[in-house]
Amino acid sequence: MKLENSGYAILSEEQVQLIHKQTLELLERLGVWIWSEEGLDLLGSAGCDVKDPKRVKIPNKLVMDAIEKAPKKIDVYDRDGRLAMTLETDSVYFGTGSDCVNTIDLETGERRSCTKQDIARLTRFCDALPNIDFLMSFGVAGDSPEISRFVHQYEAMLLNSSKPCLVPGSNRQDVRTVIDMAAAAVGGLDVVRERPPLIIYPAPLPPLTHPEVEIDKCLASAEYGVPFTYVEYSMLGATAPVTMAGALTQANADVLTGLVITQLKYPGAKFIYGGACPTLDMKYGTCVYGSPEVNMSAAALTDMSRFYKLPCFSLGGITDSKILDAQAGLEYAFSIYIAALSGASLIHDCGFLDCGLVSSFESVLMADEVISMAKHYLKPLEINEKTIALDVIDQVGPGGTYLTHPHTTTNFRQSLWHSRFLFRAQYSLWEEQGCKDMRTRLNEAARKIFAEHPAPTLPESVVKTIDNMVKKHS
Amino acid sequence: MVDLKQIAEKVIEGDSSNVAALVKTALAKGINPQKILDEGLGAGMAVVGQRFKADEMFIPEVLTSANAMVEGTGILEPAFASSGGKTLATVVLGTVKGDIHDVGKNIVAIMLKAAGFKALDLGVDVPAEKFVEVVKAGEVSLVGMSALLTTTAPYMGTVIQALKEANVRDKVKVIVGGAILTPAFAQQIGADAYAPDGIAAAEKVKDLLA
Repeated sequence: MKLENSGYAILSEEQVQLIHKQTLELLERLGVWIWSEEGLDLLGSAGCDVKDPKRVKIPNKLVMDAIEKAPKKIDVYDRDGRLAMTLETDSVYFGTGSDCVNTIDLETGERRSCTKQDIARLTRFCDALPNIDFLMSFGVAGDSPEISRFVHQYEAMLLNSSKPCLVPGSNRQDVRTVIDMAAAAVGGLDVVRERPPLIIYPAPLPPLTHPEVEIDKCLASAEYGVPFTYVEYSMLGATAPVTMAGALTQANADVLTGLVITQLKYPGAKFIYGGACPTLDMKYGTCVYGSPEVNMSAAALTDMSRFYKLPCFSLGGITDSKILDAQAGLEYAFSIYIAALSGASLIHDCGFLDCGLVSSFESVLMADEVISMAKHYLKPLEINEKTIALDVIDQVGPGGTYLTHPHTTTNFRQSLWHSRFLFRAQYSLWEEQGCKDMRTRLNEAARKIFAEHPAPTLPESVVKTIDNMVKKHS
Repeated sequence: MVDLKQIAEKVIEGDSSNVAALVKTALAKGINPQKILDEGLGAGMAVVGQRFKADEMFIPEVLTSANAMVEGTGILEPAFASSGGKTLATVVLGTVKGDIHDVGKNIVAIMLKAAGFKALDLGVDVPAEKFVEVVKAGEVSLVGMSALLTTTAPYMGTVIQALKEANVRDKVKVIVGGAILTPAFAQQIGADAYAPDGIAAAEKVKDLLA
């Protein structure tokens, strides 16, 4: 959805300016570590000081040039060639997250290792959800060979939904294969370039480190005109300064480093800015995703993206809770609402449990409901003489009822938010229906949706071609 | 007379330079190194452990104290060596091949050093051959492996297999850790132990090598 009001800014203009300036100083004076020969060549030829690969210094001008060259708007399509998302400042889309090691079995409720079949099922389910705009694997194909795991995961996604997909991949070869698979589905590499149905998901390794495989993944995507992220996830106090300002500046520097490298080789490459700074829990050492800092840092980076006019990748709908409980509810609500309010383009991880280690049908359905609610919150109130409706107030008069007035029947559907899964009826009815909690109701609803929604099919020959590509991949 | 309590106090504060100075003074005054270790450094670290469990101290503070402890034990080491005291067990640590995530492993390294082990850190992206080579070459008592990624965690099993093939698996204990790991996974790949976090890892290693 496109926000009608500009996104909520957590940073003031002065704060954005200061982070920007300090970022430029970091890149020019402190430098970053580039593990990629190709990256070093590109930066060296453009005038960076690359004598010490651990401290590659990028002049301000190169950064500003790269920002200038990058597209301000990126269109992403579905598998059928229909425009699905226009990524730009203050356009907001939601999706699942990637690579959960475990999943909760829809039938038994058991927490167990995720398989390729689970990814296929979850994908088909998410294909039916109205507020999930894009998909990530939402699981690990733990039963597929490690070397081709991302390719297997993408196959399960591509065959079970027409929604755009975000794919991580381990290396350049993975990226090439998934792009070939996408091409098989949409009708060729030219179509992929014109109407990309997928986004590749590389990321730096904070602090200030740029692994060769990640740069390779960026460049391989750019080569085929496929959009790609370069988003920083740094942990406050572990891989980033514990003060948010420092973490944001470092993240900005890392993300812009990827922007510079890719725009040098492919000017106009479809680059997506973004990231967040999860908390390293100072007691347990876990990477905490439900903390206020995660959401605030993501919103602040979205502010930086707005300043650069770059599309932004963000997150929401994640809980550290092990199960779908009250903690999950509150962490989903805050994170989804704030991410939507911030105006980030791609809000991923919706439906994650246990710090991102677990996926489930119920949790993503819950996230879908929260997103629906958040969208309603973000709709500007329509205040005009027509909606004030003094004439109706006059007709009903003091002591009258609006319930039977045509004004109510005509307007209540679009004026009010309608819940699908929240229980709002009387206690007696709740008792009569078996005293079901939210998770139980979501489970029942999920079973129904899953049973009734078939996967959108691809021609048999295309399925075969894709299958061969997966088998050949190594 | 140097107050050994003062050494303990400085360990708790994580004040490395004062720990070093106080340990040197204590040695110069002829205090038994074992006494300095037990009643000074060790006593301080024990308090740190208690406070950590009671949520009064947190990981960064514990690590700073551990570093102060390591500083102090480093100064004691020559004294132990000349007095023919006990030699410390050596543990080898590394993030396995294909993986470059080392936040957890680095916490383990500091905590093991503070617990009195010689921790040989092989870094990140460590191939099985390297682990085997180091275990074969020296007096290694334990191998600690870490991995964050689902694609690299199975490699820890590969390393254990390689240790077996080189006939050195029985020579060492193996402990594994990483965000996605479970005790069941550790058992399945044939590790001796799993630890959920860096601080717990040091405790487990102490138990394994006791």
